[in-house]
Amino acid sequence: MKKLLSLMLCALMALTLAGCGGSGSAGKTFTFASELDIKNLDSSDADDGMSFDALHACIDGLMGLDKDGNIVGAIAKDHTVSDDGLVHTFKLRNAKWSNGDPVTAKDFVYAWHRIVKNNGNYAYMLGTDGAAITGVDEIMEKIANKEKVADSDYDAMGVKAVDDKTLEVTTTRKIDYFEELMTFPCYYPINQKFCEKAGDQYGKSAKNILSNGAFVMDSWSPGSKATFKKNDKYWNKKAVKLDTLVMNLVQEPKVGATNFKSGKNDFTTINSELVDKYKKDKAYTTFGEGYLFYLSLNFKTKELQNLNVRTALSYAINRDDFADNVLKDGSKGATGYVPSGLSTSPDGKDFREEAGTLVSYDAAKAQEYLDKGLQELGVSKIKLRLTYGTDESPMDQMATYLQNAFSKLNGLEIEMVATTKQDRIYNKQKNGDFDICCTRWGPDYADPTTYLNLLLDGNANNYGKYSNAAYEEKMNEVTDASDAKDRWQKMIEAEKIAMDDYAFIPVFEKGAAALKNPKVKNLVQKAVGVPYTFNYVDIK
Amino acid sequence: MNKSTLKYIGKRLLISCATLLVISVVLFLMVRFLPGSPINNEKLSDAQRAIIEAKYGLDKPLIVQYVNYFKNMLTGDFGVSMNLYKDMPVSSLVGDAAKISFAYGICAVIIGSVIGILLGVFAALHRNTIWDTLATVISVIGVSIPSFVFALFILIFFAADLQLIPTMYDESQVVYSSIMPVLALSVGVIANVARFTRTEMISVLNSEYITLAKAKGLDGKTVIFKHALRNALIPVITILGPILVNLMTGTMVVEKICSVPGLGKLLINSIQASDYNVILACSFLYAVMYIFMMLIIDVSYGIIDPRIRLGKDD
Amino acid sequence: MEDIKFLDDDFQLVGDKQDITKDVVSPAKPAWKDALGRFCKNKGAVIGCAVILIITLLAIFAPMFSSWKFDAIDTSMKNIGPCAKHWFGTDTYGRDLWVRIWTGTRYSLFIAVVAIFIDVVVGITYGLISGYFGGMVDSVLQRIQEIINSIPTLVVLTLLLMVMKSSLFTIILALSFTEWIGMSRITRAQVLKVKEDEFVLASRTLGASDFFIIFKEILPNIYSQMIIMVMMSIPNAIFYEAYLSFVGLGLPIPLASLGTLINDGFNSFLVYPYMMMIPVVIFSLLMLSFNLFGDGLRDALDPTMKEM
Repeated sequence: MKKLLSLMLCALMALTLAGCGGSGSAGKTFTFASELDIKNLDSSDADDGMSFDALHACIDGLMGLDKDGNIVGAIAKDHTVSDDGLVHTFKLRNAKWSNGDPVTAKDFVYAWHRIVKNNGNYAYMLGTDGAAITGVDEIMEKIANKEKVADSDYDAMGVKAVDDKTLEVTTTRKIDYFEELMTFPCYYPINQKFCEKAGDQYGKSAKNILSNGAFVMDSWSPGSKATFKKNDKYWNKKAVKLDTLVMNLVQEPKVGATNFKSGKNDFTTINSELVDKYKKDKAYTTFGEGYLFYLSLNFKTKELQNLNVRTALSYAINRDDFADNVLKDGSKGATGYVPSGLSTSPDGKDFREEAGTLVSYDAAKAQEYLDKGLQELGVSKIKLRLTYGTDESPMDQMATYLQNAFSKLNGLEIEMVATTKQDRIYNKQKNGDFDICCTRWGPDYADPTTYLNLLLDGNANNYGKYSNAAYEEKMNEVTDASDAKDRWQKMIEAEKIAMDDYAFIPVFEKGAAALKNPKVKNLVQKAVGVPYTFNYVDIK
Repeated sequence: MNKSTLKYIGKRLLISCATLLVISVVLFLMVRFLPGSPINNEKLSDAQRAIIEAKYGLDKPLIVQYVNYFKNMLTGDFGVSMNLYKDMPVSSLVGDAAKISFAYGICAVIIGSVIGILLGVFAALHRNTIWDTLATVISVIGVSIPSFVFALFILIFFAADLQLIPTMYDESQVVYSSIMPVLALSVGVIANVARFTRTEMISVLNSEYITLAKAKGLDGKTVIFKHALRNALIPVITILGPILVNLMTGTMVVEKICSVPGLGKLLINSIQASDYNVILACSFLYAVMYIFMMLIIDVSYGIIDPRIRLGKDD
Repeated sequence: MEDIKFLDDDFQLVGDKQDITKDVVSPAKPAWKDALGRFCKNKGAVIGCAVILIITLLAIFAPMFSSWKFDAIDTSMKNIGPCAKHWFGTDTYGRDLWVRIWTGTRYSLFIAVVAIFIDVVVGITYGLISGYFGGMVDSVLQRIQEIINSIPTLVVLTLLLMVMKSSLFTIILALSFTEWIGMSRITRAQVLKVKEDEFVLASRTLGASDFFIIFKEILPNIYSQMIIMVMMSIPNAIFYEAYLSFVGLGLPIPLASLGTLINDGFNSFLVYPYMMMIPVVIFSLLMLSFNLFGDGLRDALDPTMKEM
């Protein structure tokens, strides 16, 4: 017994001591605290923001961001588009992988073939819904039908290495936001030799990821911490001011905040409960996260087919009150279906600014419309289910607020259906087993169509089965528009059609609040694609 | 250890293994019936989902899936995480988390037992004084109120603005930041042990051999520590069962409150992400620990006091 | 025959002193009075009982006599600390916490009591069947019970609720799934003991049916242990309900229980400690009181049962 006890104590000591090993580092260190963990560094499989952050710290794609967040060439030195807009030619600069290999056009071809071959999470980004690269849809259809895909199919894919430093991409349609797309991690290059050697361990540990970007990964222990060192072989190493980048997993925002106060990290996001405590702090900042939270309506539900009922629901929501007084984290009440800060028009104006305010709050009008709706339906009272996921914060706050707001209307009874995210999407929404559903959508690329396409008849994510011929027609015009300005105008009109019809009820645009060391400069934050770019961070 | 004890242990082991087998089936089925699936990216097309499912073998009939899983499990391979940490081996994920939870549990038992025994002895020696009452009140409170409430109280009093000592798990100072959660966990142990030690100690102190020892002229300390305490402590093992079970439940909630990346937190996270293999491994580990504890306790009962041996049912 | 004359004082009136030789050591009292006497001597138990009563009454009546509603959101009065208008303050949505906390206590108590009631019914039935019929039936039932018992409660609860979706009904169902085993054990042990007793044999010889024997002869013999078990299980059920809320499997919005209130308060305790403090205190008081009450009840009803 004594022996056992001493053995246990020894083990315990060893364990605790192992945890004590601090990291002494010289030079400029930026410590980023995140609530979410890095899941995966394989660019053909990663699909979450934190993995994107880490991935982008290590790897540069064709296009990147400058320190003001503008899109500039990264590995690509030069980009030319053919007159019909279907062939993109990228000239690559002399960049090197951290093992000394040059970054060539083949690395891109390999990576793009690989994502389609593995059917990675973002494979669709290469197909029609994304970059619309020639041949991708055909391969994916074959894979889906379990047919054998021949090498010739991949050879036919619209991505070719003309020579080591020239990449040619052919698309099936003209895409105005192609450069912007190329900043997305799924288009990053992969060094074939290295990747094949690592096998299925590629991107799963610090030594199994090869860097061509600002940093090389030094260590990575899932569930706690990842460290990066400056990459001496980076083509743009002059712009990199940091020596060390640390990403700490701090699951509890409260811990992140207290650590921030004691100087243990330089950046941490906080939740709305903590906002009251820190909002006067000079380190407090807020920014948009790009997500739109909205209500998906089921058009198979008889009551919701009535436009007046839908209108009443929309008027019943005091969006600004909810965003400013309940969420408080920099979220904004939505004014339309395409969130603000997503995309800028050819004239340099924000979409939201040009499209104007399409939804608003008016309790009296809400009641008026509901009464009219009830009259048309010939009933005195309707009952609707409100479905929400309990595991997708702040969906529960949204549901709490909406339940109360809707219940204030006479003649409307709300039944709450609590569930999880997966169940909400795959069982409830997919099978049409819902009336009103709290949903969110994050943009895939910075173009309004990432949202507008959701309302098309036949879109896989159009769970409410909304269908409107006028809208379809307008969206076809958007696709066919040859002039950028004309296209922009059509998109504004399309959104207006959908919102007049209350196809969806937008609620709020998610924001985030954070504490950021005032000495930290040039941390680039984006709502679309890679959330944080650390390349230019400097501490002054 | 005589032959019948060994036979008894063998029989209990066999039953435990059979139970574990059944549990693995039950857990496997329950996990597969969870709503949703680990492949939960809403932007995936149906075809893509089907391919990913095939990659993890989720397209095969349930029975085949189970047999495969069980076979791999015997070789120590618990599969890979399908959602939480893409494709990472579950054994290392669960192993890392379990290390922390075990360390917490063991620390709480050690700290709790030491303080509990001291408190119990102290109360027994000062019977019917204000100290005794105080010790009794402490142990009643400790027994009745679950450990997470203590963790919450610690948070309120220490975390708010004082910042004397960290109350939430912090990667950069593991030991220091673990003090508070471990203390919260040990309150229950302290209470149980103190209450029991006190009762046992009083009955031992009243026994004739202690009177004899005193009559022999041994000094007070020797009597208490060499004769009384030793005999009073042996039965404490009988309350290890409830204590350990309490601790297991306790760690799950305390881990959540103090943000400790232990087994409980991993289980909760994996359930929310429908990460099949991680849920299975975590809950199976819990079941193994639970059954193992029960086994040890039963067997140790048998060794300490052969009268209690449960040769027959109940 | 000589005439004998009795004098007046030759005899004395015995009056009501016939029972003078009867030994009166203790007055005859019904068993329940006996138990009540023992119970009242235990100060802790009486206090516990009183606290439970007060909390229950508040939980039932406090929300009725307040002008606020437990789920009425008004962001213009959010985060107000305890004051004359809002005795327990308001939460982050501006809901009055006095009403909300007592409504939550009501739900917590309701869930616990109903779940334990189901437990008792299921447990007793299971134990009776297992113990009374014995043999093969007993073996099979006992193995099933052993397996259910060897999966840790929290794992079962969490998985069950994930599968079933949390609502008032499913939470009660899941809680009843885990606590009945103790009940069935006690019942079975008692049945095994009583089964062979003479009075049961007598009853059987007189032609009583199984059903009659179970309900008339066996059940009345285990009621005191059942009551104790129930009192000890209620705090368990309250705790598990709180645990579930912490894991995010609590009552659906906008309902409240002590667990969901503590959880909500936990999220903002750094800034508004009272939001967590008050429900935690009520929760602790309840747990403590039920334990004290249960202890007292056990000592009173079954003085032979040794405290463990």
